[in-house]
Amino acid sequence: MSLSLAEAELTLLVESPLFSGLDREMVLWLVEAAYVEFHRDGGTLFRQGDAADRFFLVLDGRVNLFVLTEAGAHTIIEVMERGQMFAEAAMFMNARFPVNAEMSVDTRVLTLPGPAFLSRLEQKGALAARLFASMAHWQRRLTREIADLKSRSPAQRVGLFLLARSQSSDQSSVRLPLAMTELASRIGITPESLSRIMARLRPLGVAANRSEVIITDADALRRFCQG
Amino acid sequence: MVEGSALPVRNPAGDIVPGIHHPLLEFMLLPIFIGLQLSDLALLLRDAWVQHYSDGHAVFHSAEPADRLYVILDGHVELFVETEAKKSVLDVVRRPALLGEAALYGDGCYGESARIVGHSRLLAIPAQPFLAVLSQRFDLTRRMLAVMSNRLHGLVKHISSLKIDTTAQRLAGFLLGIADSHDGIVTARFLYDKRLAAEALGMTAESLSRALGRLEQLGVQRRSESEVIIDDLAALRAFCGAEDGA
Repeated sequence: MSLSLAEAELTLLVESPLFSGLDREMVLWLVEAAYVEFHRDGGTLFRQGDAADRFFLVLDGRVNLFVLTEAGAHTIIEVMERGQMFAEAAMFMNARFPVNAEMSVDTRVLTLPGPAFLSRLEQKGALAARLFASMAHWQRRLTREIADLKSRSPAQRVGLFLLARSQSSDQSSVRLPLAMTELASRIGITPESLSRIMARLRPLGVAANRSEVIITDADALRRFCQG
Repeated sequence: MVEGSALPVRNPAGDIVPGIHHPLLEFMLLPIFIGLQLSDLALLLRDAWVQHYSDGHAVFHSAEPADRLYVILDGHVELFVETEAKKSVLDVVRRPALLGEAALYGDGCYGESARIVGHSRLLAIPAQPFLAVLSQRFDLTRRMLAVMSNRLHGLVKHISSLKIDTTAQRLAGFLLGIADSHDGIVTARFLYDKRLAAEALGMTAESLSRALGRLEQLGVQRRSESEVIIDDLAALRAFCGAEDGA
């Protein structure tokens, strides 16, 4: 195995949703041609219209996928973070990249060349079925998550939103600059309902003033949101 | 009509309608088949048919063995799951959505239930013969991997939108999806009732009304109970894509 990845990064690869139905040796054999690229903040990974002859896994950092409007403005389609795989659909299709990809911080990606990947996939017929099975599993998980999100109480949704916003921070205490009116509109409730919800969240370590939310016990909040 | 170049049609009772066929050419522009040779399409759809459904029909139930996949040709289909007797609407989809992808995974079961909203026409494809073709044709397998992969990325986006976007942004995205054109002043029509649209968007009917009120500043006008006019598509698109759209 020529791939020089730290153990944690190998885990990201082997446990990525697309490969979840394959064992470790199979994954490593399939992606043997993969290599690591390092890009500075602002660097370009690919441009819209380039041949989609490879796909990517973010090892560390962040990649913005965006299109340019006629007026030349960036519209961000998706932000890819550590552990996320992208561009495999375009690669499978033998198509062109439908978006631009640019780093929004210093970023390490694993680049998986398409032709080598596909030729190995074709060699072992059963592997494609395994990929489909991984996808099925992944889809079921996502479907459950969507149903779950929609069935949450407004208080739990406020909590989930705050947790999603504070994701990039590892500290247990997080300060989020966020106005209460904005928060209310994001969850789709009235400011009055939000006041009641914030009062309920206070014992869980969520404090708020006019322009900021402070989370002092993210674990407690997470437990509340999952309950 | 020559056999192999057209598909039979079944009525809501499941009976073949004599004398009516759908030419395969009609399916060549569906995203999952686009760019295929007619002969490949005929191979994949060898055992398929066009099924007419009436309102409320259950196409399949979650956890049933997935033995068919479907492509919506006309009308709307509600996708939902039921947990502890509570129904949760995942989405309301229309042409050219693919349903029952679980059938592609061989011995899988449907992960959600599908119900017809209004009157619909679906392309019904038995899974086994379809999979048998795929196993012989790596090019077609690749295509289906791409279709699935796109679908999964769509779900990931849906989740992040549920977590992060405002109700107004989610509604704006929905309106852009149902708009009848891509430029100029366009009309967006709620083709099924607003309550169902609200459920699919993960909000209450009241939140949907408030969100619609907020979009008025962006040139979205209510014309009737079921219809809105979008004056400025670009503004609405920018609003959806804005990182902090509040």
